[in-house]
Amino acid sequence: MKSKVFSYTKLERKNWKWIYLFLLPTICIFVLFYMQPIITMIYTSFAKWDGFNAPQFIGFKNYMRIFTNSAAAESVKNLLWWSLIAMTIHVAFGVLVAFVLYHKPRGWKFTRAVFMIPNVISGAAWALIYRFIFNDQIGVLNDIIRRINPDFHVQWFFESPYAFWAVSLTWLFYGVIFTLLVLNDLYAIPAELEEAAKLDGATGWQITKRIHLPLCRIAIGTCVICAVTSRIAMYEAIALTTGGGPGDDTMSLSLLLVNAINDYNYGFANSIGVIMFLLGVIVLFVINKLFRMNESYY
Amino acid sequence: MKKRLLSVILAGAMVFSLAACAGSGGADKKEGKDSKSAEGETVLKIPTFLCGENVGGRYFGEFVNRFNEKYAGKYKVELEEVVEASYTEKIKQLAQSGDLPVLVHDVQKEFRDSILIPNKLYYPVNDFMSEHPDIEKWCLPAYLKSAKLENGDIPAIPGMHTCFVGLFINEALYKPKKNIGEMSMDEFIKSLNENDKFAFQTVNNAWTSGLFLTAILANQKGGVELLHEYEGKKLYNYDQQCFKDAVAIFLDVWKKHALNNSLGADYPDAINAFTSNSAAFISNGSWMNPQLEVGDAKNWSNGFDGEKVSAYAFPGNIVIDASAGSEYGRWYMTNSGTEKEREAALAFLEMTYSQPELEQWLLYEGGAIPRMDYSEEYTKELSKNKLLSEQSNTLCGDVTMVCHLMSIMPDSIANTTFGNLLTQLVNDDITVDQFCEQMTLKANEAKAE
Repeated sequence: MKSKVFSYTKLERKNWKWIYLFLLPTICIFVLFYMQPIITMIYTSFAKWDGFNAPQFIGFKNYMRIFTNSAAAESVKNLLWWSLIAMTIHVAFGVLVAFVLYHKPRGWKFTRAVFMIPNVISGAAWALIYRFIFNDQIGVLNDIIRRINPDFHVQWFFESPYAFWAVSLTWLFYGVIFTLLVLNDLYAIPAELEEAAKLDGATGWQITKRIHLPLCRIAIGTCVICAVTSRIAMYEAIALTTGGGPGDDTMSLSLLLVNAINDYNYGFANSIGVIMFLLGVIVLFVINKLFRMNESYY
Repeated sequence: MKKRLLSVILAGAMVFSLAACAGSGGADKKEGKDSKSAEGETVLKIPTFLCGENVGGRYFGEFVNRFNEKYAGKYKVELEEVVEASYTEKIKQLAQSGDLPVLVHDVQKEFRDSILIPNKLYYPVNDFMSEHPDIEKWCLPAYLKSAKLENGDIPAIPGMHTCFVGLFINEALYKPKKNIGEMSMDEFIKSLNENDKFAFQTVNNAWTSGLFLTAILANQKGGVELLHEYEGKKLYNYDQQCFKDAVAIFLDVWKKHALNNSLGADYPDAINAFTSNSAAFISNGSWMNPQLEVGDAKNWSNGFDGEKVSAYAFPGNIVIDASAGSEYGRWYMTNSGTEKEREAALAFLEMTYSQPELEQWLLYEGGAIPRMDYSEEYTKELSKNKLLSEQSNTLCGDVTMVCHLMSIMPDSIANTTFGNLLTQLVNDDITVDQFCEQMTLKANEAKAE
């Protein structure tokens, strides 16, 4: 059997120059502001570079440094844990809220609006708010705990092993983007499907499990990609709370990258950048496969 | 057809606007145009962190006003606010794009040694120095000697100022039996009661903690020599006995006398602790003086009275010089800009380094210019300010000046790692030996290959 040969229609052939003309500004922006820095990052990751003078090629030395760096191992371990938490609890909470809101319970509009608030506060401000919430002396959290146990004292951001969990809590339950993505897919499900299922005697849980969840697969996959890539790039939530400490307890690759820049090790910083970039691409590829995101809904 | 034409024009406009955005920065420069205001004044744009709430902003804002008034119609300085922490990074970006401003603040040593000087981005001030013998006379001899490069250029006016960093004591909470500087560190620590607390911090660069650790280190055998040896350089070995001993003493002081909010405290928290009668001691520099003056009383609490605060050298007569190791002064002139802008910059430097302005600056910032014969007016003004005169007298006395320990640590270690490891140390998660081992390991990892 002959495979179908892809061909342009007459109309497409006629308009191709217009299509490219309108794409030109976007292509220019992409090449100037994305492509060029990515290429610079890749080739300087193989060099000793102070960010100004000409880079000196040193082969894979920067990459070897990552593997021998004491903080890098801790950063990767933290990233794996955070990714796992993000893929499970973080995304699951956002999806759960979407499913609850889909059924439009009483006060759903208010809940949706309130759930949006953290998204309009900058990451930096959010981190500082949490510094106060988790403060031992003046924090709300310990104030509540001390009503039960008056001798309770923990500096959540500055004591092991609490610091890791305190940083995780700054983003764990804020998945409004996931809620909106899933909600959008839920509203797109034809009502006939649900009605037919109900006529066949399906329960609410069966409808959710057999119809809603499979039909939101692509949106949930997108949520997982967003959640994990956000953990790879996470910076403010750590830098403005624990600074990677105590010790390296909350260290991340992005913090390591900034530290390298502070020490004028731009080549090393860019090798970390390349690793982060590759991790992002791998996550994209794996989640795409796992959630069969290139396949049809039905 | 009309629609197509309009589409082509719009798409073209977008592409050209993009090109215009990318190329706008250097256009004036390439054409050799002066930055002139409508009135024909030469405008000097200075990116600076000495604005707004910055402690140095109060004097600098007034200075710029005086400069603009003096040179009205001829030169005008306009300030562009930059966050202090990202200042060098901003200047580096401007250097990369060939848009360096004519005047830049004293920048990080690494930037100066690896970028500014090797690439000759500076404008030599040799002629300016020979035209102003007074300025040369005030410069510190050691800096004057080391400021000259091998090619004979002096890239910036050498340092002339020693900055006071010592121990501020709230005498309402702790009344010293004698001058703190004259006590040994051991004697001082033994004189403390259980309720005599220090405003320490662990967050960011753990500034106030780092200062007191420096003072303890300087009191150890070989401590002063270590700090002097590495002044202006970076220290990568923290396994030395004097450092270990200093950390052990510091830990002991922390356990007994750190205020209970010190773990997780940032610089403002430490200042608040001191100005709320919670802590009797804080290690800091003379830039804190304005916060202890009556004019700042709105920020005090719990009956704190700034008048009861005294400034001393650390025990063992140790004073930390925050400007130590920086052989160049406050400004660099770059090789950018037009002739007119350079003229304006030279006028700016001339006024900055005039005796009345330097004395005015000292009255705000504290510290001393040891080789200057102060005017009577200045000495009179100085005597009116208790803290400033205490600090000035201390600097003129028999003290040992050392650099700040943080200034000899690699930047990432000083900015974050030291604080993170200190947190572990005071939480008893690591021992003193492990702390020193980790400091050595991290410092070596931060070293450029």
